[in-house]
Amino acid sequence: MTEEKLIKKIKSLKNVKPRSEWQTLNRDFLLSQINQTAEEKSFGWQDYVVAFGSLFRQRLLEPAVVMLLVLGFSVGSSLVVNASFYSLPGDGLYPVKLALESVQIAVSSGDERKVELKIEFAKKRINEFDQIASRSDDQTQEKNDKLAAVVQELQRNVASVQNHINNIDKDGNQSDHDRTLRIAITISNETKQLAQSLDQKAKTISETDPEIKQIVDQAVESVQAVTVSADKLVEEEKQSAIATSTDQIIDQDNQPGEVLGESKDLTEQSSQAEVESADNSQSESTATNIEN
Amino acid sequence: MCNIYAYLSSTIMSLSLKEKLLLVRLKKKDKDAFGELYDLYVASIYRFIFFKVPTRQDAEDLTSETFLKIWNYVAETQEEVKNLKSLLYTTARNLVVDFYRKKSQVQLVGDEETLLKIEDSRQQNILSQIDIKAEVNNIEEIIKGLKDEYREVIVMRYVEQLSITEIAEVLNKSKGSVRVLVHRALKVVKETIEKNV
Repeated sequence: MTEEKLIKKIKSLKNVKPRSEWQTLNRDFLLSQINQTAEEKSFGWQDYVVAFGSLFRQRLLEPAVVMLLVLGFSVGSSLVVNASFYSLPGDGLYPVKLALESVQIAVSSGDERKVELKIEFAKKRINEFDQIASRSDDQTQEKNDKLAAVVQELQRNVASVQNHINNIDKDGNQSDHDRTLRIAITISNETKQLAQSLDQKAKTISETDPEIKQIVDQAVESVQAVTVSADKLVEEEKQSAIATSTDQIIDQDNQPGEVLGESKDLTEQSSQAEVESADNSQSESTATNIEN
Repeated sequence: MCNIYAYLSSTIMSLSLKEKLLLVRLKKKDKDAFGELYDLYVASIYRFIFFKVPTRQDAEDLTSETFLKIWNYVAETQEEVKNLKSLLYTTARNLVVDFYRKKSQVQLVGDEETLLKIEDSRQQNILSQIDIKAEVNNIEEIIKGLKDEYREVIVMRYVEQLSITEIAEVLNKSKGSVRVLVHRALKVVKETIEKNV
């Protein structure tokens, strides 16, 4: 039996109906029962409004409101994210930008990627520094405050990179060493560029802003400290790599199979020499016999 | 434009609006509204109960009681009644549970559990009777012999043509569970018919 036929058969149960006389009698009985609590009919156009309002809310308004909320939230959040991308210190959306950067670091997988992002964000701070410095509409004090805020944020980014270097596991296996070396080289190269560009900024800042100059100089020092740490790490990793390869060679030399092989070679050589000497003595004796 | 108007008219000015108006009037204790509600749903509620109880008399008594309960509930409740049809079926269902509870005269743990226990034993008898009498083509007997939860979804879905949402409201289950239940119930009906052919 197909499902269609089955459903048709089930639908035939609609023929089950209450007895018509019971239906009528029961209606009268129920109406008499409710008669005591029933009130005078006072149905007007207001009731139509209430009923239509309720239906409208349930059928159209609720889904529409939900749709609008979803749409508003998605569009709004993407607008905020975009707008925050161009924000600078002092703007309302700048904390959003920093929070998004933190999230980006948190969700990225792998140490290398995290370090790259941290350095990338530090570079962004330098761009922001340039943008604020080039603005002519800001008051000097206000501008200085913003520049100080950017450099402070840069310091935070740099400290985070430094922290990353400190937390690197130096006792890992070979693949860990390779990865650490790669990270250290990246940090070293990138922070060198960062320090250079910051140094240039420090030089361009006029002597009339000693406060900013001091902050930038401090930032340069911090970046350079990171470069030094990264270089040190590179050296350590290289040394460790050399030590590992030397150990491997020594280990190979001390392999018992190989030593045995060598002695075997030596034994072969000595036995060959013995054969040769035996041949020589034999030929000598033959020669003597001929002479005799 | 005409099409949109026709669509809106057919969807909004349909039974839903009629139900909403009925609700507003019932809330105001309008006696005529009660009469209309009775005319509109008495056959459906009777049928729904009929497949759950042993006799026609029981079905009639419980149907009558369902409408009285609805009258009192709608007039007194402060909560918004979203679906009058679902409310009617839920009330009828609860009354059937009460009916079996009173009938069993034993201490009960939970409504559902009790109903299932009583129903199961009753269903087993009916199913065995079907086997004996070989009333395989009598769909009514097969439906009556089904497990309670299967029977009520089959009746609600295919006889009373309630939507999955409405059934989910009555049974207090998710739409997904109701779909699964309907599918399983239909499968059992099909197997019972095929087994007895």
